[in-house]
Amino acid sequence: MSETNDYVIKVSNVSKDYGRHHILDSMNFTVPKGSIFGLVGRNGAGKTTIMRIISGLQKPSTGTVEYGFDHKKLGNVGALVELPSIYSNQTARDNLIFQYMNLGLKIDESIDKSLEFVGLANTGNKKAGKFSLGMRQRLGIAMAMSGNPEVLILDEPINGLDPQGIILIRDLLIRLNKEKGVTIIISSHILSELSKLATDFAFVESGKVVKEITADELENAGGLESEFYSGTPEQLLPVLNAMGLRTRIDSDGIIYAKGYYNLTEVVMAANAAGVNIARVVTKETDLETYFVKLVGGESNA
Amino acid sequence: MRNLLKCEFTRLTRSVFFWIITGFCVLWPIITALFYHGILAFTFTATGIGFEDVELPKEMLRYLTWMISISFITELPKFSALFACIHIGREYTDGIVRNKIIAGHSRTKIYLSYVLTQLAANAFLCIIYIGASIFGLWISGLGVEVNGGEMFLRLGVGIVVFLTLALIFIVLATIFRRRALPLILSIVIAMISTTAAAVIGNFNLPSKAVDDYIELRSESYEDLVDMGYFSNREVEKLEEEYDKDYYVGLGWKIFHPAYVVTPIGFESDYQASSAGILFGSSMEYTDEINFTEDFYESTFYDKSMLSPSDIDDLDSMHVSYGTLNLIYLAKCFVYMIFIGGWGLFIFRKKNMF
Repeated sequence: MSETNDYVIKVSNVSKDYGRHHILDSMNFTVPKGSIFGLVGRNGAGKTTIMRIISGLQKPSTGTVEYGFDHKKLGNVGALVELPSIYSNQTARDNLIFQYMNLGLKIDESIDKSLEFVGLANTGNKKAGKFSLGMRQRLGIAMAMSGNPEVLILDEPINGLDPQGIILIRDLLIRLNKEKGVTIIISSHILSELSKLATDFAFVESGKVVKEITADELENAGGLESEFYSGTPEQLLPVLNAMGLRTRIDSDGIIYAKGYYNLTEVVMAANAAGVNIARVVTKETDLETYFVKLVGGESNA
Repeated sequence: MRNLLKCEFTRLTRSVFFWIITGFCVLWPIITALFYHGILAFTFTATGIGFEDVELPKEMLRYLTWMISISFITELPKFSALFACIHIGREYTDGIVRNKIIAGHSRTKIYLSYVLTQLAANAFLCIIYIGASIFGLWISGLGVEVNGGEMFLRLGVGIVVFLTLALIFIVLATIFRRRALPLILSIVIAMISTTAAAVIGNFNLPSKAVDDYIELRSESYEDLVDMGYFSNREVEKLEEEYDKDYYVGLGWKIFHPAYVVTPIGFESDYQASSAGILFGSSMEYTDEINFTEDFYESTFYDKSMLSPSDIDDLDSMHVSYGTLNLIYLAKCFVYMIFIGGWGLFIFRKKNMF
């Protein structure tokens, strides 16, 4: 976890009540600048509510949300909470034109670039109402991105998408983060996908953040763990270390290695060093397993 | 705010439904004018008088010009309600309101952008309607009589009165998430308003009695006494017998306050009083007209039954053209502040997700 003031959003003791129902209970977390921040939690844990609060749609009952940028500047926060907000009777281009107008932006070629960026350049006169869910999500993201926001808040952006659609959105988000430096806060039920995207995670349970962790820390805590069996483990150890794996060896000569690798490359490197690998056993602690361990019970995130 | 207005106006100009209503506003008054022309031509021809030879009196032309032009008050509300619900409703159904809030616009500005755009659209439709009415009267060959331009002032106030009614539809459309409910409510209000305007408007049309009163009023009551209409004893007796409340009646006492406070009465009141003034070519207010009518209907019809005190009472009820319009503009202002303020209050508190 980045322990600096270099944050975009800091949520402090935020609670939200609907009458007697406590949706959020003194929630705290910090979103580092430039991160892809994954919110993980069961249904009803409070993910959507905190996203609404961060994006300004709702006010917290108590607590504060601090922004590490001028969040009142038009377009500095982009969000796609639940469903994409687009005019269904307008084309993708017209939707962006209206969004540009709302933000006071100049209508120029950047609209076409945005459409190209999200893969909707060739939709022509097709009305957004006739788009597939994936196309609507991408248009929603393009609209949310219109003002070059500091932070993009996405609630279940891949929900209901087919595998192809999921890949497109995932690639799009990674590009936004890497190429444009946009901090992304994202929630998803599909934890395997979230684990491919997020650099930081907050685990939400019963309206509270029970754990904040970076992707690296998660990998250390879980990730892929392999047991290497060899007749000459002392010779194999430096080979595995050279490949970036974190290793330890026990008294029986079994090497435990953490981290992801290409098995063929490992075998070839071992052969080149004159070491033989008798057997490899792997087990992976993924995000889902980690989540279940953390909060107990079924995943249902 | 400017960004929001720019966006809303652009969306408005791209609305097919808006242009369909505009088309209606052009065609309907022209058809009405042609229809009136047809009726008059038929009547004159049927009575053996060639219509081409007749020059319609100014009074009649003024009547036609007013009735056809001001009828936007009764024709437009249904469209206005429907359009507000469709246009603003889409902002909810498509989630655009959320987009605007997330982008950083305040709820007050968002609300005002909807209200101002819709009011401007309705004002535009009224102006188109009036223009088309005049064009229709002109091309039909009937001609136009605008009472020395004064009718435009009255139509202008009529537009403000209409916008006050339209604001109710706009506010309903902004505070309900679903389109159906405000649509039903608005159309019910519009229909009641239109019907009431027509019925009450007809009821308030000036009678012969009013015309007589207007004629009588042009003379001072001192002259009437001098002319021998009343003796001093008769005057005293009539003043004793005279009871305004008796003539006004209980029904009116109950109905009238409701009538002038509700948008229905407010709208029809303006139509009726304006019509009364224009037809009578004088400066009478609805209260005055109705009181006079009641007075005559409740007594044996004779001009001499008007005592000097009656004339004084009636004159005290008199409101000038200018004052009447100011009263309506002030009423509109109060209505707009009240309705618009209430809508803003709800919109700011409303759940937007």
